[in-house]
Amino acid sequence: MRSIICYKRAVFALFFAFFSVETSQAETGRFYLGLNGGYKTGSFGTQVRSDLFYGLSEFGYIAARYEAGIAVPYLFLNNNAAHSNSLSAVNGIGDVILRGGAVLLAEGESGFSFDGALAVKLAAADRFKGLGSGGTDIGAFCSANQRVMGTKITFILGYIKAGQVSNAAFNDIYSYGAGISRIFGFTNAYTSFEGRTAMIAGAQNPAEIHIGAFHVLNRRVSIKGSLFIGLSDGGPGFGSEAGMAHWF
Amino acid sequence: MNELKQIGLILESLFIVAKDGWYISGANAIDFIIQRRWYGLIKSTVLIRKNIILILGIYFIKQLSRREQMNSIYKIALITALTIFSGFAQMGNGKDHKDGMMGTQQSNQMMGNQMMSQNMMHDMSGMMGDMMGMMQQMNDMMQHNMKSMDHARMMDMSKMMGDMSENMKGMSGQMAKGKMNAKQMKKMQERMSKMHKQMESLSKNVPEETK
Repeated sequence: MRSIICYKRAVFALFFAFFSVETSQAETGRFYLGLNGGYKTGSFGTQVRSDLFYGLSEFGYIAARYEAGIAVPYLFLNNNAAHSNSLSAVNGIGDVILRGGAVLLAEGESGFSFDGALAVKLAAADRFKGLGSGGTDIGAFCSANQRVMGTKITFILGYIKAGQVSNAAFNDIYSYGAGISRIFGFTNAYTSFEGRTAMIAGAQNPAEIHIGAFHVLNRRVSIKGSLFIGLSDGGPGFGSEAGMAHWF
Repeated sequence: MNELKQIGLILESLFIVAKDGWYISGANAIDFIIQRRWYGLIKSTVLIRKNIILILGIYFIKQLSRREQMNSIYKIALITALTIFSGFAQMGNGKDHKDGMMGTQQSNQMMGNQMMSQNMMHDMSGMMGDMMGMMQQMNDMMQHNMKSMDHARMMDMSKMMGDMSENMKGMSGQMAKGKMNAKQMKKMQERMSKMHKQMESLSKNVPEETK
Protein backbone atom coordinates (compact mmCIF):
# COMPACT_ATOMS: atom_id res chain seq x y z
CA MET A 1 0.00 0.00 0.00
CA ARG A 2 2.81 2.36 0.92
CA SER A 3 4.59 1.56 -2.31
CA ILE A 4 1.44 2.39 -4.27
CA ILE A 5 1.16 5.75 -2.50
CA CYS A 6 4.83 6.47 -3.19
CA TYR A 7 4.38 5.64 -6.87
CA LYS A 8 1.31 7.88 -7.10
CA ARG A 9 3.19 10.77 -5.51
CA ALA A 10 6.09 10.26 -7.89
CA VAL A 11 3.77 10.22 -10.88
CA PHE A 12 1.96 13.39 -9.83
CA ALA A 13 5.26 15.14 -9.11
CA LEU A 14 6.67 14.26 -12.51
CA PHE A 15 3.47 15.29 -14.30
CA PHE A 16 3.58 18.64 -12.46
CA ALA A 17 7.23 19.08 -13.34
CA PHE A 18 6.55 18.47 -17.01
CA PHE A 19 3.69 20.92 -17.20
CA SER A 20 5.28 23.62 -15.04
CA VAL A 21 8.26 23.91 -17.38
CA GLU A 22 6.24 25.77 -20.01
CA THR A 23 3.87 27.83 -17.88
CA SER A 24 5.90 30.98 -18.44
CA GLN A 25 5.70 30.63 -22.22
CA ALA A 26 2.76 31.37 -24.42
CA GLU A 27 2.03 27.88 -25.76
CA THR A 28 -0.58 27.47 -28.43
CA GLY A 29 -1.78 23.90 -28.41
CA ARG A 30 -4.84 22.07 -29.61
CA PHE A 31 -7.20 19.58 -28.12
CA TYR A 32 -8.09 16.47 -30.04
CA LEU A 33 -10.69 13.73 -29.79
CA GLY A 34 -9.81 10.42 -31.41
CA LEU A 35 -12.09 7.50 -32.19
CA ASN A 36 -10.52 4.22 -33.30
CA GLY A 37 -11.56 0.65 -33.88
CA GLY A 38 -9.33 -2.38 -34.10
CA TYR A 39 -8.95 -6.14 -34.23
CA LYS A 40 -6.31 -8.43 -32.75
CA THR A 41 -5.97 -12.19 -32.84
CA GLY A 42 -3.54 -14.66 -31.34
CA SER A 43 -3.21 -18.07 -29.74
CA PHE A 44 -0.20 -17.36 -27.51
CA GLY A 45 1.15 -20.86 -28.16
CA THR A 46 -1.97 -22.62 -26.84
CA GLN A 47 -4.94 -24.44 -28.37
CA VAL A 48 -7.13 -21.45 -27.60
CA ARG A 49 -7.39 -18.66 -30.17
CA SER A 50 -8.33 -15.26 -28.81
CA ASP A 51 -10.00 -12.67 -31.05
CA LEU A 52 -10.29 -9.15 -29.74
CA PHE A 53 -12.42 -6.41 -31.25
CA TYR A 54 -12.09 -3.07 -29.57
CA GLY A 55 -13.13 0.53 -29.74
CA LEU A 56 -10.66 3.09 -28.47
CA SER A 57 -11.49 6.67 -27.59
CA GLU A 58 -8.73 9.17 -26.96
CA PHE A 59 -8.79 12.72 -25.70
CA GLY A 60 -5.75 14.88 -25.33
CA TYR A 61 -3.95 18.14 -25.72
CA ILE A 62 -0.83 18.75 -27.77
CA ALA A 63 1.32 21.84 -27.62
CA ALA A 64 4.71 22.48 -29.12
CA ARG A 65 6.67 21.30 -26.08
CA TYR A 66 4.32 19.04 -24.16
CA GLU A 67 1.21 16.92 -24.44
CA ALA A 68 -1.21 14.94 -22.28
CA GLY A 69 -3.95 12.48 -23.02
CA ILE A 70 -6.23 9.72 -21.87
CA ALA A 71 -7.16 6.53 -23.72
CA VAL A 72 -10.21 4.44 -22.85
CA PRO A 73 -10.77 1.16 -24.70
CA TYR A 74 -13.84 -1.05 -24.78
CA LEU A 75 -13.13 -4.69 -25.51
CA PHE A 76 -15.03 -7.56 -27.07
CA LEU A 77 -13.02 -10.75 -26.46
CA ASN A 78 -13.78 -14.17 -27.94
CA ASN A 79 -11.82 -17.26 -26.90
CA ASN A 80 -12.18 -20.23 -29.23
CA ALA A 81 -10.84 -23.57 -27.94
CA ALA A 82 -10.04 -25.69 -30.99
CA HIS A 83 -9.90 -29.05 -29.22
CA SER A 84 -13.30 -28.69 -27.62
CA ASN A 85 -14.84 -26.38 -30.23
CA SER A 86 -16.11 -24.20 -27.42
CA LEU A 87 -16.43 -20.44 -27.59
CA SER A 88 -16.52 -17.95 -24.77
CA ALA A 89 -17.29 -14.29 -25.30
CA VAL A 90 -16.82 -11.47 -22.84
CA ASN A 91 -16.86 -7.72 -23.18
CA GLY A 92 -16.16 -4.76 -21.00
CA ILE A 93 -14.09 -1.69 -20.54
CA GLY A 94 -10.34 -2.17 -20.87
CA ASP A 95 -7.54 -0.71 -18.81
CA VAL A 96 -7.47 3.10 -18.99
CA ILE A 97 -4.20 4.83 -19.78
CA LEU A 98 -3.23 8.32 -18.66
CA ARG A 99 -0.25 9.82 -20.43
CA GLY A 100 1.83 12.96 -20.21
CA GLY A 101 4.87 13.81 -22.26
CA ALA A 102 7.28 16.61 -22.97
CA VAL A 103 9.86 17.57 -25.56
CA LEU A 104 13.05 17.54 -23.52
CA LEU A 105 15.25 18.60 -26.44
CA ALA A 106 13.54 20.39 -29.29
CA GLU A 107 14.48 19.65 -32.87
CA GLY A 108 17.08 22.10 -34.04
CA GLU A 109 19.08 22.51 -37.19
CA SER A 110 20.69 19.12 -36.62
CA GLY A 111 17.27 17.47 -36.77
CA PHE A 112 17.79 15.66 -33.46
CA SER A 113 15.14 15.76 -30.72
CA PHE A 114 14.57 13.92 -27.44
CA ASP A 115 11.19 13.30 -25.84
CA GLY A 116 10.07 11.84 -22.54
CA ALA A 117 6.74 10.55 -21.26
CA LEU A 118 5.08 9.06 -18.23
CA ALA A 119 2.04 6.81 -18.36
CA VAL A 120 -0.22 5.21 -15.79
CA LYS A 121 -2.36 2.21 -16.65
CA LEU A 122 -5.39 2.11 -14.38
CA ALA A 123 -6.85 -1.33 -13.69
CA ALA A 124 -10.31 -0.55 -14.98
CA ALA A 125 -10.73 -3.90 -16.76
CA ASP A 126 -12.22 -6.99 -15.16
CA ARG A 127 -9.27 -9.37 -14.84
CA PHE A 128 -11.53 -12.32 -14.02
CA LYS A 129 -13.00 -11.97 -17.50
CA GLY A 130 -9.47 -11.86 -18.90
CA LEU A 131 -9.78 -8.28 -20.08
CA GLY A 132 -6.79 -6.95 -18.17
CA SER A 133 -4.02 -7.79 -15.75
CA GLY A 134 -5.83 -6.34 -12.74
CA GLY A 135 -2.88 -4.26 -11.62
CA THR A 136 -2.06 -0.57 -11.90
CA ASP A 137 1.09 -0.10 -13.96
CA ILE A 138 3.35 2.93 -14.12
CA GLY A 139 5.61 3.46 -17.10
CA ALA A 140 8.37 5.84 -18.11
CA PHE A 141 9.45 6.20 -21.73
CA CYS A 142 11.89 8.16 -23.81
CA SER A 143 12.52 8.51 -27.50
CA ALA A 144 15.40 9.84 -29.53
CA ASN A 145 14.48 11.19 -32.98
CA GLN A 146 16.69 12.14 -35.89
CA ARG A 147 15.20 13.84 -38.94
CA VAL A 148 17.10 13.49 -42.18
CA MET A 149 15.44 15.57 -44.93
CA GLY A 150 11.85 14.28 -45.01
CA THR A 151 12.54 11.07 -43.07
CA LYS A 152 12.48 10.66 -39.29
CA ILE A 153 14.21 7.83 -37.44
CA THR A 154 13.08 7.07 -33.90
CA PHE A 155 14.50 4.89 -31.10
CA ILE A 156 12.42 4.18 -28.03
CA LEU A 157 13.12 2.75 -24.57
CA GLY A 158 10.69 2.29 -21.74
CA TYR A 159 10.22 0.74 -18.31
CA ILE A 160 6.88 -0.34 -16.89
CA LYS A 161 6.49 -1.13 -13.21
CA ALA A 162 3.82 -3.82 -13.24
CA GLY A 163 1.14 -3.64 -10.60
CA GLN A 164 0.84 -6.83 -8.59
CA VAL A 165 -2.35 -8.75 -7.86
CA SER A 166 -3.16 -11.63 -5.56
CA ASN A 167 -2.47 -15.17 -6.81
CA ALA A 168 -0.24 -13.86 -9.60
CA ALA A 169 3.29 -12.59 -9.88
CA PHE A 170 4.02 -10.17 -12.73
CA ASN A 171 7.44 -9.13 -13.92
CA ASP A 172 8.30 -5.55 -14.67
CA ILE A 173 8.43 -4.81 -18.39
CA TYR A 174 11.20 -3.28 -20.46
CA SER A 175 9.99 -1.96 -23.80
CA TYR A 176 12.08 -1.05 -26.81
CA GLY A 177 11.52 -0.10 -30.41
CA ALA A 178 12.78 1.53 -33.54
CA GLY A 179 10.80 3.22 -36.28
CA ILE A 180 11.10 5.21 -39.45
CA SER A 181 8.56 7.63 -40.91
CA ARG A 182 8.35 9.80 -44.00
CA ILE A 183 6.08 12.62 -45.06
CA PHE A 184 4.43 12.64 -48.47
CA GLY A 185 2.46 15.86 -48.84
CA PHE A 186 -0.15 15.68 -46.10
CA THR A 187 0.37 11.96 -45.50
CA ASN A 188 2.84 10.42 -43.08
CA ALA A 189 3.73 6.75 -43.52
CA TYR A 190 5.69 4.82 -40.91
CA THR A 191 6.96 1.40 -40.01
CA SER A 192 8.36 0.27 -36.69
CA PHE A 193 9.59 -2.67 -34.68
CA GLU A 194 8.30 -2.75 -31.11
CA GLY A 195 9.08 -5.27 -28.42
CA ARG A 196 8.91 -5.73 -24.69
CA THR A 197 9.87 -8.31 -22.09
CA ALA A 198 7.27 -10.80 -20.88
CA MET A 199 5.08 -9.86 -17.97
CA ILE A 200 4.47 -13.48 -16.99
CA ALA A 201 7.36 -15.73 -16.08
CA GLY A 202 8.00 -18.40 -18.67
CA ALA A 203 6.14 -16.61 -21.47
CA GLN A 204 7.87 -15.46 -24.63
CA ASN A 205 8.78 -11.82 -25.08
CA PRO A 206 6.19 -10.12 -27.33
CA ALA A 207 7.44 -8.35 -30.43
CA GLU A 208 5.64 -6.86 -33.44
CA ILE A 209 6.26 -5.15 -36.75
CA HIS A 210 3.93 -2.18 -37.26
CA ILE A 211 3.03 -0.47 -40.53
CA GLY A 212 0.76 2.54 -40.68
CA ALA A 213 -0.02 5.97 -41.99
CA PHE A 214 -2.05 9.04 -41.20
CA HIS A 215 -3.46 11.67 -43.54
CA VAL A 216 -4.52 15.21 -42.71
CA LEU A 217 -7.81 15.90 -44.47
CA ASN A 218 -8.14 19.50 -43.38
CA ARG A 219 -7.13 21.66 -40.47
CA ARG A 220 -9.58 19.86 -38.18
CA VAL A 221 -9.75 16.23 -39.22
CA SER A 222 -7.14 13.57 -39.73
CA ILE A 223 -7.48 9.86 -40.39
CA LYS A 224 -5.10 7.02 -39.61
CA GLY A 225 -4.71 3.31 -40.13
CA SER A 226 -2.21 0.66 -39.11
CA LEU A 227 -1.61 -3.04 -38.86
CA PHE A 228 0.91 -5.18 -37.06
CA ILE A 229 2.31 -8.68 -37.34
CA GLY A 230 3.38 -10.54 -34.21
CA LEU A 231 6.81 -12.12 -34.17
CA SER A 232 6.37 -14.41 -31.14
CA ASP A 233 3.74 -16.34 -29.22
CA GLY A 234 4.12 -13.91 -26.34
CA GLY A 235 1.83 -11.42 -28.02
CA PRO A 236 -1.01 -11.26 -30.55
CA GLY A 237 -0.27 -12.70 -33.98
CA PHE A 238 -1.97 -10.04 -36.08
CA GLY A 239 -3.86 -6.84 -35.59
CA SER A 240 -5.20 -3.81 -37.40
CA GLU A 241 -6.63 -0.47 -36.38
CA ALA A 242 -8.25 2.50 -38.09
CA GLY A 243 -9.52 5.76 -36.75
CA MET A 244 -9.89 9.47 -37.03
CA ALA A 245 -9.03 12.47 -34.88
CA HIS A 246 -10.96 15.72 -34.66
CA TRP A 247 -8.90 18.72 -33.61
CA PHE A 248 -10.37 21.70 -31.80
CA MET B 1 14.64 -43.53 -9.67
CA ASN B 2 11.14 -42.12 -9.70
CA GLU B 3 9.72 -45.63 -9.56
CA LEU B 4 11.82 -46.48 -6.52
CA LYS B 5 10.71 -43.31 -4.88
CA GLN B 6 7.11 -44.13 -5.65
CA ILE B 7 7.49 -47.67 -4.24
CA GLY B 8 9.13 -46.29 -1.16
CA LEU B 9 6.39 -43.71 -0.85
CA ILE B 10 3.72 -46.37 -1.18
CA LEU B 11 5.33 -48.58 1.45
CA GLU B 12 5.70 -45.66 3.74
CA SER B 13 2.16 -44.60 3.00
CA LEU B 14 0.85 -48.07 3.71
CA PHE B 15 2.60 -48.05 7.03
CA ILE B 16 1.24 -44.60 7.89
CA VAL B 17 -2.19 -45.42 6.60
CA ALA B 18 -2.22 -48.35 8.89
CA LYS B 19 -1.73 -45.86 11.67
CA ASP B 20 -3.73 -42.87 10.35
CA GLY B 21 -5.08 -42.49 6.83
CA TRP B 22 -5.12 -38.70 7.00
CA TYR B 23 -1.43 -38.10 7.27
CA ILE B 24 0.10 -38.80 3.91
CA SER B 25 -2.94 -37.81 1.86
CA GLY B 26 -3.32 -34.58 3.80
CA ALA B 27 0.34 -33.75 3.34
CA ASN B 28 0.03 -34.32 -0.40
CA ALA B 29 -3.04 -32.10 -0.65
CA ILE B 30 -1.51 -29.23 1.33
CA ASP B 31 1.68 -29.42 -0.68
CA PHE B 32 -0.38 -29.35 -3.85
CA ILE B 33 -2.56 -26.39 -2.81
CA ILE B 34 0.43 -24.18 -2.08
CA GLN B 35 2.07 -25.02 -5.40
CA ARG B 36 0.03 -22.41 -7.32
CA ARG B 37 1.20 -23.72 -10.65
CA TRP B 38 -0.91 -23.84 -13.75
CA TYR B 39 -0.03 -27.49 -14.30
CA GLY B 40 -1.73 -28.29 -11.05
CA LEU B 41 -4.10 -30.73 -12.68
CA ILE B 42 -1.20 -32.91 -13.76
CA LYS B 43 0.06 -32.96 -10.21
CA SER B 44 -3.37 -33.72 -8.84
CA THR B 45 -3.70 -36.76 -11.15
CA VAL B 46 -0.41 -38.05 -9.80
CA LEU B 47 -1.67 -37.62 -6.29
CA ILE B 48 -4.97 -39.27 -7.18
CA ARG B 49 -3.03 -42.20 -8.56
CA LYS B 50 -1.02 -42.44 -5.37
CA ASN B 51 -4.12 -42.33 -3.26
CA ILE B 52 -5.78 -45.06 -5.31
CA ILE B 53 -2.73 -47.22 -4.74
CA LEU B 54 -3.02 -46.48 -1.06
CA ILE B 55 -6.66 -47.48 -1.07
CA LEU B 56 -5.88 -50.73 -2.88
CA GLY B 57 -3.02 -51.37 -0.53
CA ILE B 58 -5.27 -51.13 2.46
CA TYR B 59 -7.16 -54.19 1.34
CA PHE B 60 -3.96 -56.20 1.65
CA ILE B 61 -3.28 -55.09 5.18
CA LYS B 62 -4.76 -57.93 7.13
CA GLN B 63 -3.76 -56.57 10.49
CA LEU B 64 -6.42 -53.81 10.32
CA SER B 65 -9.95 -54.53 11.31
CA ARG B 66 -12.78 -53.99 8.87
CA ARG B 67 -13.83 -50.82 10.65
CA GLU B 68 -10.32 -49.41 10.60
CA GLN B 69 -9.98 -50.23 6.93
CA MET B 70 -13.21 -48.40 6.01
CA ASN B 71 -12.29 -45.38 8.10
CA SER B 72 -8.94 -45.12 6.32
CA ILE B 73 -10.59 -45.48 2.94
CA TYR B 74 -13.12 -42.77 3.73
CA LYS B 75 -10.37 -40.40 4.81
CA ILE B 76 -8.26 -41.05 1.75
CA ALA B 77 -11.29 -40.67 -0.52
CA LEU B 78 -12.08 -37.31 1.09
CA ILE B 79 -8.53 -36.08 0.64
CA THR B 80 -8.59 -37.34 -2.94
CA ALA B 81 -11.72 -35.31 -3.59
CA LEU B 82 -10.05 -32.24 -2.12
CA THR B 83 -7.00 -32.73 -4.31
CA ILE B 84 -9.21 -33.09 -7.39
CA PHE B 85 -10.98 -29.86 -6.48
CA SER B 86 -7.66 -28.12 -5.86
CA GLY B 87 -6.35 -29.45 -9.13
CA PHE B 88 -9.23 -27.97 -11.07
CA ALA B 89 -8.91 -24.73 -9.14
CA GLN B 90 -5.23 -24.51 -10.04
CA MET B 91 -6.00 -25.45 -13.61
CA GLY B 92 -8.60 -22.68 -13.61
CA ASN B 93 -5.88 -20.18 -12.70
CA GLY B 94 -3.73 -21.65 -15.42
CA LYS B 95 -6.55 -21.19 -17.93
CA ASP B 96 -6.78 -17.55 -16.99
CA HIS B 97 -3.05 -17.31 -17.26
CA LYS B 98 -3.20 -18.16 -20.98
CA ASP B 99 -6.66 -17.09 -22.08
CA GLY B 100 -6.34 -13.83 -20.20
CA MET B 101 -3.16 -12.99 -22.08
CA MET B 102 -5.02 -11.16 -24.85
CA GLY B 103 -6.50 -8.69 -22.37
CA THR B 104 -3.13 -8.32 -20.62
CA GLN B 105 -1.25 -7.94 -23.90
CA GLN B 106 -3.80 -5.40 -25.14
CA SER B 107 -2.99 -3.23 -22.13
CA ASN B 108 0.75 -3.83 -22.39
CA GLN B 109 0.71 -3.02 -26.11
CA MET B 110 -1.06 0.26 -25.45
CA MET B 111 1.46 1.12 -22.75
CA GLY B 112 4.43 0.14 -24.86
CA ASN B 113 3.06 2.07 -27.82
CA GLN B 114 2.94 5.36 -25.93
CA MET B 115 6.01 6.99 -27.46
CA MET B 116 5.26 5.98 -31.03
CA SER B 117 1.71 7.23 -30.61
CA GLN B 118 2.94 10.47 -29.05
CA ASN B 119 5.41 11.06 -31.87
CA MET B 120 2.69 10.43 -34.43
CA MET B 121 0.29 12.90 -32.80
CA HIS B 122 3.08 15.50 -32.65
CA ASP B 123 3.79 15.00 -36.36
CA MET B 124 0.08 15.21 -37.09
CA SER B 125 -0.25 18.43 -35.14
CA GLY B 126 2.78 19.88 -36.91
CA MET B 127 1.40 18.90 -40.29
CA MET B 128 -1.92 20.56 -39.48
CA GLY B 129 -0.05 23.67 -38.42
CA ASP B 130 1.78 23.65 -41.77
CA MET B 131 -1.55 23.25 -43.55
CA MET B 132 -3.02 26.22 -41.70
CA GLY B 133 0.05 28.27 -42.58
CA MET B 134 -0.27 27.33 -46.24
CA MET B 135 -3.95 28.23 -46.29
CA GLN B 136 -3.16 31.62 -44.81
CA GLN B 137 -0.50 32.17 -47.46
CA MET B 138 -2.93 31.22 -50.21
CA ASN B 139 -5.46 33.67 -48.83
CA ASP B 140 -2.88 36.44 -48.86
CA MET B 141 -1.88 35.60 -52.42
CA MET B 142 -5.46 35.69 -53.61
CA GLN B 143 -5.99 39.13 -52.11
CA HIS B 144 -2.79 40.39 -53.71
CA ASN B 145 -3.85 39.06 -57.10
CA MET B 146 -7.26 40.62 -56.77
CA LYS B 147 -5.65 44.04 -56.20
CA SER B 148 -3.48 43.55 -59.25
CA MET B 149 -6.54 42.71 -61.34
CA ASP B 150 -8.25 45.86 -60.04
CA HIS B 151 -5.30 47.85 -61.32
CA ALA B 152 -5.61 46.26 -64.75
CA ARG B 153 -9.31 47.00 -64.85
CA MET B 154 -8.64 50.54 -63.78
CA MET B 155 -6.23 50.92 -66.67
CA ASP B 156 -8.84 49.58 -69.13
CA MET B 157 -11.40 51.92 -67.67
CA SER B 158 -9.05 54.87 -67.99
CA LYS B 159 -8.27 54.10 -71.67
CA MET B 160 -11.95 53.75 -72.42
CA MET B 161 -12.73 57.07 -70.83
CA GLY B 162 -9.98 58.63 -72.91
CA ASP B 163 -11.52 57.23 -76.12
CA MET B 164 -14.93 58.43 -75.03
CA SER B 165 -13.71 61.97 -74.42
CA GLU B 166 -12.02 62.06 -77.86
CA ASN B 167 -15.27 60.93 -79.51
CA MET B 168 -17.27 63.52 -77.63
CA LYS B 169 -14.78 66.24 -78.61
CA GLY B 170 -15.02 65.29 -82.27
CA MET B 171 -18.81 65.13 -82.05
CA SER B 172 -19.10 68.54 -80.48
CA GLY B 173 -16.78 69.94 -83.15
CA GLN B 174 -18.92 68.47 -85.90
CA MET B 175 -22.10 69.69 -84.28
CA ALA B 176 -20.60 73.19 -83.97
CA LYS B 177 -19.81 73.26 -87.68
CA GLY B 178 -23.30 71.95 -88.38
CA LYS B 179 -21.92 69.05 -90.30
CA MET B 180 -23.38 66.19 -88.13
CA ASN B 181 -26.09 64.38 -89.98
CA ALA B 182 -28.56 61.86 -88.59
CA LYS B 183 -26.54 58.83 -89.71
CA GLN B 184 -23.38 60.12 -88.10
CA MET B 185 -25.33 61.03 -84.95
CA LYS B 186 -26.78 57.50 -84.70
CA LYS B 187 -23.36 55.94 -85.20
CA MET B 188 -21.91 58.17 -82.50
CA GLN B 189 -24.73 57.26 -80.07
CA GLU B 190 -24.17 53.53 -80.64
CA ARG B 191 -20.50 53.94 -79.90
CA MET B 192 -21.22 55.86 -76.70
CA SER B 193 -23.77 53.26 -75.59
CA LYS B 194 -21.26 50.44 -76.10
CA MET B 195 -18.64 52.28 -74.12
CA HIS B 196 -21.14 52.94 -71.35
CA LYS B 197 -21.92 49.24 -71.03
CA GLN B 198 -18.24 48.36 -70.87
CA MET B 199 -17.76 50.93 -68.15
CA GLU B 200 -20.60 49.42 -66.14
CA SER B 201 -19.12 45.93 -66.50
CA LEU B 202 -15.74 47.03 -65.20
CA SER B 203 -17.35 48.84 -62.31
CA LYS B 204 -19.36 45.77 -61.14
CA ASN B 205 -16.27 43.48 -61.02
CA VAL B 206 -14.37 45.66 -58.58
CA PRO B 207 -14.33 43.78 -55.16
CA GLU B 208 -15.72 45.25 -51.93
CA GLU B 209 -12.31 45.59 -50.21
CA THR B 210 -11.05 48.11 -52.82
CA LYS B 211 -14.18 50.35 -52.90
